[in-house]
Amino acid sequence: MDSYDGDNLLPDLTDPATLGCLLSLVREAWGDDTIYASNLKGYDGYDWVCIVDTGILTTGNARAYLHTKHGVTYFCGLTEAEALVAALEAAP
Amino acid sequence: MNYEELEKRAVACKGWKWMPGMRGVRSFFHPTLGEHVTINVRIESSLDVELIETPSRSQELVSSAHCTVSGWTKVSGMLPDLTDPATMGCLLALVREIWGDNTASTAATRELDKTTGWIMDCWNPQSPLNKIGPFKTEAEALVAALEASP
Repeated sequence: MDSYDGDNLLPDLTDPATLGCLLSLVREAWGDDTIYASNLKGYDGYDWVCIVDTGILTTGNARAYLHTKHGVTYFCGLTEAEALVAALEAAP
Repeated sequence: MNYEELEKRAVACKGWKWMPGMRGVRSFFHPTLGEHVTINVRIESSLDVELIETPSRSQELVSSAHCTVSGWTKVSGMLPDLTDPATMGCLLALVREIWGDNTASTAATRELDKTTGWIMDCWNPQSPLNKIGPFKTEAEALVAALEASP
């Protein structure tokens, strides 16, 4: 593996196994095993949301997420993968 | 319900199939070695597997592991590892395929006793999928959805 150039390696986000691993990565990054993605057709112009309990963050670390209500944030995407990546990008 | 029982229920479903990316675990008695051995594989395609973990005398064991393979639909004694994220992703894809609903997903709920429950969730409110659960684990919700498939 010494000569392997991993910089050009990208995950195949159409692959079910990779999506399962991405969801696991999001849960790990947020420290919450109950995070999930859900289809909410048309929610604010998006089809998929990744639902994260951002209320667990302390006040000092809290950010102004776009779609937060009662401490729960919807990270949106046109696809399931896009919603999961948005949640991963926003992880503390 | 323990995971082994759940995994046995999954492979018993009529819609079950092994998908690329799934992790399989097979434990069996090896007559030559005179002991029980466990083989972990990752399904690479409809024909290939990657051996993740085998005992030292692997070649002989590999042929034994493959001896009852039939198109990767049913492999004698091999169970999916439902604690593996990739396998869980594939199981969700299988549920979507069988139900013909790409909006199906699992969802966490807060039950009255404050514990977390897992249900199946999809866009169509009339779908029977939305009546599956709650269960204690996400894997259980997916297997129940597989069992209840039309």
